[in-house]
Amino acid sequence: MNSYKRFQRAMEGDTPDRTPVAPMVNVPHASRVLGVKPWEYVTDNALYVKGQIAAQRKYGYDWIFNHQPIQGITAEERKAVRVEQDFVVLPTEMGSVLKIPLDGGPAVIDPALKDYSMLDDLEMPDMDRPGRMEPLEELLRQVGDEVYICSKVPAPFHYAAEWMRGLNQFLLDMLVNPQYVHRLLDFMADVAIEIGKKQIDVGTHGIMMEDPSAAAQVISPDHYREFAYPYERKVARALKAYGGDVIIHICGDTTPILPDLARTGAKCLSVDESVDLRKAKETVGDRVALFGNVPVETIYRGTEEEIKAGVRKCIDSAGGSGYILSSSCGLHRGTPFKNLHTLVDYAIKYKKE
Amino acid sequence: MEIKEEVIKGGMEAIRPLIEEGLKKGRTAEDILAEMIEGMHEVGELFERKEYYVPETLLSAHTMMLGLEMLRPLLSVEKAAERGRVIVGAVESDIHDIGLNLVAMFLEAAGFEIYNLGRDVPTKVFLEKAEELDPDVVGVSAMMSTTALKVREVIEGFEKAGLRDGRFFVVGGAAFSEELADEIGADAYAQDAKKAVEVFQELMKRRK
Repeated sequence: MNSYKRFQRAMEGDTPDRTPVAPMVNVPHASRVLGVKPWEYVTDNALYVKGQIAAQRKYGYDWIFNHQPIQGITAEERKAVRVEQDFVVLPTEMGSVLKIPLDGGPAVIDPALKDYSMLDDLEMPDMDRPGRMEPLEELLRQVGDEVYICSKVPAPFHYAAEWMRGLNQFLLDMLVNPQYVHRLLDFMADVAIEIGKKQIDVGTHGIMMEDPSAAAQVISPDHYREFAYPYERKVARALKAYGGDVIIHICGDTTPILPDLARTGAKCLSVDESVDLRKAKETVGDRVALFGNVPVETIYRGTEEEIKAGVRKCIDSAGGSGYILSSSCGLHRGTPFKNLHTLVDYAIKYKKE
Repeated sequence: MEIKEEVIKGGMEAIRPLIEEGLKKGRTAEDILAEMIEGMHEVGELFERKEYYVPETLLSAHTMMLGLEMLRPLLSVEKAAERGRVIVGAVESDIHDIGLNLVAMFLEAAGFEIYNLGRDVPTKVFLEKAEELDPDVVGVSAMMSTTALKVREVIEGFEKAGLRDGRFFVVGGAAFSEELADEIGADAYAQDAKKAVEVFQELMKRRK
C-alpha cells in the first residue's frame, strides 16, 4: 500500500496497513531541509515544490502539506518582493502586506481592511491567474501517484483576523461590530470555497483548513459557535459537495467543540496536544477521522525515548481505523532533523497492542 | 462602584463620562484608578475561570486604558517608578501582540511604569531601550513555535552588552512553558496577563 492509499483510507475511517504519518512540516523546517532561506522558498514556486518533495523524501512520511494559503506566486508578485535589511516584504493580492524574516515564516504586518466601509469594495481574487495552481500541479505531477497531497484553504475566521483586520482589532470587532464581522466572514468563506474548488479541479487529494485564531484559548465555545463554526461549516460543506475531503485544525483544548466540528462536513479533525485523543475518539470517532497530536515541544527537544513515548501514546489512544499521526502543530524552528527522523521511523514501525 | 462595573463590562462609551463626574465630585485620580484596578483584577479572575476569553478581556483592558488616559496627567509619576520600571515587547518577526498588550495594560493598571515596545522588536531595539530606560524587568513574548528561540537571542544580547545583571527577564506567550523559559535563561515565566502581574510583583520584592 502506498502513502496516498494509506492516508486516503484513514481519511475514510478505514484501517490501512499501518498508521499514516503526516507531521506538519512548515516553511522554516522545509526550507532548512533544502538549505535555502524561508523567503526564497515562499516566493519561488519551483523551490517550494522542490523543498516539499525533498522533505517528504528525506523523512519518508505519507503526505505533502501544500501549505501556502494564497497558493502559488505569479511572476509579477515575485518581482514585487522587496528585500529589506533582514526581512522581505511581499504585498498580497488581498491587499495586506506580508513580512518574511530571513530565517522565519511569513506574517502579515499590514492588514487590508482599514475600516468596514471598505467591505463592499472587496473583490474575489482571480482563481485563474497564472501561477496560482502551479505548485499543486507540479506536486501532483511529480509525486501525486504515491503521496497524499493536501492543500490549504484559508479558514474564514483566521484569515479575516490575520489578513484583513489584525487579530486584536478583529476580536474587538466581534464584540462591538458583530454585523460587519459576519459580512467579512461570509466573504472570506466565499474566498476559501473558490480556492478549494480550484484545488479540487486541479486534483488535490485533500484540503486542510487551519483556524488557529479561533483557538480554544482565544475565544469561548459560544463565540466559536457564533463566528467561526458557521463559516467553517459553509466552506467544508461546499467543498464536500464539490468532491473534496476536508481536514480542520484548531489549536487549544477543543474538546468542548468537537461535536460541532464533527458537524461541519469535515472528514477529519486535527487537534493539538491539549486534547485527549482517546476521549476525542470516543466522542466523534464514529463520524470523523482524527489527526494529531505528538507535542511539537517533544519533537523539538525531547529525547529519543520521549519522542517514541509520544508516538506510542497517540497510536495506542487513537490508532487503528480513521487515524493519522501528526505533530500537534507546525514544527518549532530549529527542530533537529534527527528528532523528526525518530518520530517518522518509529511511527511507521510501531503497532498498537 | 459604577466605574469598576464598566471596566468589567467593557463599557468603552460609559467610562469617560463616569470618570469626569467622579472628578467633578472631588474624587482623586488615585482613588478612581484604584477602582479601575479592582475591576481589572476581577477581569483577570474571570479569565482564569474561563468565563472571559481574549475578546472580553481586551474590551475591558481597552476600557480601562481610556480611563487611564484621562487620569494620567493627574497621577504622580514617581509612584509608578517605585513599583518598578518595565519594558515589554514581542521578539522580532513575531507579530502577535494581543497577549503582550494585555500584559502591558494589566501591568500599567497594577501601577508599574511600563514601556510597551510592541510586536516584531529586533534585539538591538530591546538593547537601546534598556540602555535608555534602565528597566527593572524586561518582558519578552513569543507566540509561535518558530520564534520562541529568538528570546534566547535577546537575553544573550543583554549578556554580551553587559546589560543583563541587576535585571529580571520574564517570558510569556503560547510558545513557552516553564521548562523552555528556564532553558533559555529567563528568570520567570508568566502564562497570562494576570499571572504576569503576580510574577512581576514577586520579582520586585526580590529586588528590594
